Amino acid sequence: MALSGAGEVGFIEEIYYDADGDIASPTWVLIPGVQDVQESATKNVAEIAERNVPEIGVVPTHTSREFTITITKKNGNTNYDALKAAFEDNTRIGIAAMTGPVATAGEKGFQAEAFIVGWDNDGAHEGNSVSITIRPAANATTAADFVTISV
Amino acid sequence: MSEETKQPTTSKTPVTVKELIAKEKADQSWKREPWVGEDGYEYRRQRVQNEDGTFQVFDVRVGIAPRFKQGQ
Repeated sequence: MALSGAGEVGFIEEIYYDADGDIASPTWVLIPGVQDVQESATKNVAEIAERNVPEIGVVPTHTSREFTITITKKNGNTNYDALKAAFEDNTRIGIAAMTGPVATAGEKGFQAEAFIVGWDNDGAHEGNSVSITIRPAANATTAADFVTISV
Repeated sequence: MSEETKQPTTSKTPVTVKELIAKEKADQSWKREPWVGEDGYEYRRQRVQNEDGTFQVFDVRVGIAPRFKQGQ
């Protein structure tokens, strides 16, 4: 379901990865066992303090964006192990954070070449989840951007 | 030997779903370089591997605003 502008719950969010990091023509695979997804984006700003203006003004510049995805630990699962290996080996992957199934017309999302920069295991024995932090990669072959599925 | 008991001289090895998926995974023919549509937007061809292992090809429109060809 595409974003309607009305209030929406988050369980329609679909997160995909592409193992070879090529987002121009990727083969997306759904990240398994997603429990929660959080997107955080902040702008760097240039501050302008003019002597005749009492308030410091800002001009937005770069956007710093990251996704924190909590997934169920699935050691031995091909996709789970691929994500763990990408984190350990600093391998660039593709990431697609979509409003719904990626091959459905009208769905929207953000796609980027990215690195997994955080892998937080919630406990070696009792816990069942891992939070992974994903950020867009520098020197990307294909620039990160918002997309709409046109099919 | 009767007709019923004759063995076929040629037989095709059955193709498994796993083999079909591996073949499809290696297939590069679906790929297309990104292009700019008549609406000025950039388009990209992508595909997804479904949970049953099958693949689905689709196109995405890139960007919030149209991107125009160089020189326009």
